[in-house]
Amino acid sequence: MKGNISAKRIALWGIFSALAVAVSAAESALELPFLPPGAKPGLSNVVTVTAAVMAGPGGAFYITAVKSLFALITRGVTAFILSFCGGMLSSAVTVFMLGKCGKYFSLVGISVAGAFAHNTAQLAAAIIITSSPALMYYAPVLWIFGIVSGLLTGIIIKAVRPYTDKFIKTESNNPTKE
Amino acid sequence: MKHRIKKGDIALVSAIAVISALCLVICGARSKADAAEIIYGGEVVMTKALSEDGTFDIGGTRIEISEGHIRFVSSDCPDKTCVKSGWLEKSGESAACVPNRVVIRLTGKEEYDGVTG
Repeated sequence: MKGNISAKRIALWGIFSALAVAVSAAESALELPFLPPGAKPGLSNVVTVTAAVMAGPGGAFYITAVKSLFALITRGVTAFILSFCGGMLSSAVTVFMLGKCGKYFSLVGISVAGAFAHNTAQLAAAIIITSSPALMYYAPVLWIFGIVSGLLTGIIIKAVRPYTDKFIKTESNNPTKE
Repeated sequence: MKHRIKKGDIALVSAIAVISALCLVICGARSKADAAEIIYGGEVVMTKALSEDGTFDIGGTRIEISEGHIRFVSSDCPDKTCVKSGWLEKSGESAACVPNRVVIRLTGKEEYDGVTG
């Protein structure tokens, strides 16, 4: 990332973060019966990935930090740790792939990778906290739902791009081209 | 950018799907469990036979066994993910209350050293 982060960019990150938190909170309120307990559709990742594409990679990490802090305040330390671990690995994978893997992966594939990373890191954190590898039982089911979630968010991201491009003009630090 | 589905997308989704499916098949042949291990802070603190109905408390959670199933009835954790996991009955299944560090894990063999509680 370049030396100085513009004020405009940070303001954008703030707006995206608020949006991500709102989406995430709304999702938590829906308990979908076909999802494993604790699993979410992950729609806030639409915001995270869009932010990374439009306002620089730092945005994804910033949003994750804000979401995690929100979880800390509303749901406690464990929720914070799980959200932070899942979100940070997911953001790292997303940012890496946006930068390097454009040739082989579209936004849909990057979303799937992000969802997979999120589930895996979160499950690993849960296993470490409880000291119970027994929780690995959840992995295949979470991964399969992660694919679905990644596909869904990828499709939404692609659908939303024309609108966000229109309303937000940013200096994008992202080296990948349109 | 990146408007079409690409090779990597398909490869990634396929890889995850295949690995998940394999895991489900390998661990999948599940029969009704006989017993449940209650793991607290990483250690198996009790092993309960699912044939014996009852309710007990551990680490801020309340666990109930009834008619061969087991579940978290209630918990003092913020999310209640454990409670929402519902009834478990097949061997290999598990449920956890992460903040309280309580895990229920169902086992299939009759290998438990005494029924406690």
